[in-house]
Amino acid sequence: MRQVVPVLLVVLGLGIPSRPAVAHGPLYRNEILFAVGTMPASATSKGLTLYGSYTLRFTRHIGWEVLGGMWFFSSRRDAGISLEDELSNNYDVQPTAECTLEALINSNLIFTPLRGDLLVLGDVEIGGEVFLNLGYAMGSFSNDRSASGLDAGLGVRLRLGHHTSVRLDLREYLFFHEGSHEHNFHLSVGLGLGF
Amino acid sequence: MKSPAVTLVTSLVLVSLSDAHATSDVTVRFALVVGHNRAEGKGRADLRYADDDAVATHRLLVRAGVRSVLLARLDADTRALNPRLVPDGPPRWGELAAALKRLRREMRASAREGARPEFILFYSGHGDVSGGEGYVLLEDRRLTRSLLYGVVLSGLPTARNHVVVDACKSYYLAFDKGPGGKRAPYHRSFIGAPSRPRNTGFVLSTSSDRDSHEWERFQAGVFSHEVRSALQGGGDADNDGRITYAELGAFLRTANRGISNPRFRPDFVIRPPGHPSGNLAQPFLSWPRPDERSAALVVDRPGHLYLEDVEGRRLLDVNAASGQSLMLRLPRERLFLRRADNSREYGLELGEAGGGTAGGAAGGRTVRLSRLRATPLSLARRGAMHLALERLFAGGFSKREVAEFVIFFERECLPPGAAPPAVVVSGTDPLVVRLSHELDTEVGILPADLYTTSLQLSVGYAWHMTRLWALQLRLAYLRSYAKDLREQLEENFGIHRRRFAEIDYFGEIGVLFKPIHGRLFLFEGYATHWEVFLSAAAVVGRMEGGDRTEREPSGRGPRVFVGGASGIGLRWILTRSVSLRSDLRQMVLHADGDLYYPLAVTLGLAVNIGGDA
Repeated sequence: MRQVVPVLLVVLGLGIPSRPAVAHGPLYRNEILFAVGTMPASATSKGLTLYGSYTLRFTRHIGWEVLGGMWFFSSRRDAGISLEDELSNNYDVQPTAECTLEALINSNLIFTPLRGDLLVLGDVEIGGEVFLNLGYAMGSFSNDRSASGLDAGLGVRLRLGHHTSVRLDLREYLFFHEGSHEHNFHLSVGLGLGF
Repeated sequence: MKSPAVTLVTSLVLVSLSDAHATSDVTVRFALVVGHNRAEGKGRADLRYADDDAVATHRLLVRAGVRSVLLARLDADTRALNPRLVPDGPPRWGELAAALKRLRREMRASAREGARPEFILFYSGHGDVSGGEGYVLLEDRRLTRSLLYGVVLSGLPTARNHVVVDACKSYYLAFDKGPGGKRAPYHRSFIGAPSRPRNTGFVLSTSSDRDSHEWERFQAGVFSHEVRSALQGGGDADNDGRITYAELGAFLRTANRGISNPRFRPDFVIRPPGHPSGNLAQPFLSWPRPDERSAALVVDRPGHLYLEDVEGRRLLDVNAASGQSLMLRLPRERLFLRRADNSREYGLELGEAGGGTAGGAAGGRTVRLSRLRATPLSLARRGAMHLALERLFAGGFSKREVAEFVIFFERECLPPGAAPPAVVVSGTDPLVVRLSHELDTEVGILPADLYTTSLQLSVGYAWHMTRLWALQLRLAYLRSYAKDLREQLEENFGIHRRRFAEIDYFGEIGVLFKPIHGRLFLFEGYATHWEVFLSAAAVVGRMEGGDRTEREPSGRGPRVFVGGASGIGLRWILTRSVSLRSDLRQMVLHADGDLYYPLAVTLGLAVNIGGDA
């Protein structure tokens, strides 16, 4: 079943017409995102992340984040504040090995229901969008295991110009592994380049 | 089972949403329609149909439920055609100013009653450029761009204004003239004319130093006739009773593209309200359901048709593409619908005593073209210009033309660097909802702690001093719950519960900085108002638990903490009095030499008292 999900996403993506069928088509169809983020609520996966993705927009409301990838480039362990250290120092408890999320890849449908104008400092006008995403994610963990899961979230885009925008993404990754599940809330801010 | 609190909050949100929808839908339109045939000086000929255009547009707007004021001096022919029509005054500056004063008063009254007033200015007559500034003629003075922006459109209590000008060089009435007398790219004028009301859209008959055309077959200005054709439903591609800027622009473009000679081809400019690019999905005019004043004709067959009344006045031209039906909004009187090649004529009895197929709204009348019987006709035509203008409306109109126009507009008309998405708003636009006093209640969690999850319940008050700044007070109570890790530590390793820090309650005072606000449209339609804010506050409160000390080997007892909190938040303004807000706050707390860094995520419902829109 897990293998079917990405195939289904591809089929859905290819099935959507490349020309906008409605009056409000996107101005550009491709977007590359570079983002920096964190998982503020995770007990184990602290630190900063790098996130990148490529998105294909079919209409102004529907797009497909074909492939995204996230990698922790600074972990709690690197910062000397790993859970293991904390439990050992504060409670004299030696935990079993930590299993932390180290990287993931994902693919999402992007739905943008809200678009309009925003005034910055009451003067400068920029375009804004609110979008939702839902898709598939596969995570790689520190104990050499991987797990599939869901990726759902909400984002805000502030357009800086024709081809550039700032994106704020709030995403929840829910990984399933051997009957258990693990939440990972990811917050990122990035620069989107459209063409 | 739902708790009473959840039920209450859900009910409040639903009521708020329904309230928002109700208030935002009540648009009341006011119009000032001016027609003036006379030319300035002896070098130019008077127009023949500017007064006819004003009368026809005035009648159309009245049928659409618009409170319209007509300023025109009718010539003999027009008086003969409209013997019972008495204009509200001549097209003079004094009458125009007085009419505006009356309309402003009525607009304010309607706004006080909760309506959303919009203003339409229609002008038909002579126009020209002097000193780089465009103007149109009134009987006693020029109506310049400065007067248009500084007097006519200034201080209107309206959400949107719409300006339609059918005059030579009308482009320059709205926009600057380029250097060296050349046409300036329109986007320069958007940037270089800060006094242009940003909530005003323009529909202009020329895009440069061009003249406008009149055509005796229409007995009207070509551009004005096309605009009226679109507004009467010829341009309503989705048949929702609202003619948007996209539909109007697409209709005009489609109507004119059959003429290959640019000398004869009408060349229009359309810019929806907004700055700098505008939102083409905004409606220019909305029709009420058919009633005693108007009926509907569903054109469900393709081809170029035109409609005349019993006096021979040509009301509209329309050309539905194959597979596209168009619902025309017509006066309830006897009308004649003809094929453009004058091969066939359909008689329409839309009056009270007439035939047709009743349907649609109660009291209204809807007739379908496919059910009408045609009779053959014949008519001669002549002249090169006639032959050229007969190519008007040659192309079929459908939703496809609207989609193409939107793409054309964005590719060809958007200024470099402008925000690509639909841009609406501003100026005096109620888009910017100013809050005054805000009471809110929030629920939230402090999820970042490894050992404890805290649920937060808080109440707050914010005084929005300006659109950018607010002062905020908040009191919060927290209830903490052990996470799995902490339960294991307590149960399996005997770690005392006082070793884990928990916040009991806190109070904060701080400021909100609101740098971003605006309006987002749900699927280009329903408008929602949003605000992004940053917060900073001083915090004081009580906590207990924490790392053991020599004095407290089993963990820390209750103690006071002080600190700061900064964050970012998003507000969704549902109505003028209710909003939803979400806050993300990072706190830095100091208690007896230790630092704590709780992160709080909250969702709240706020009641706004006072303020304006």
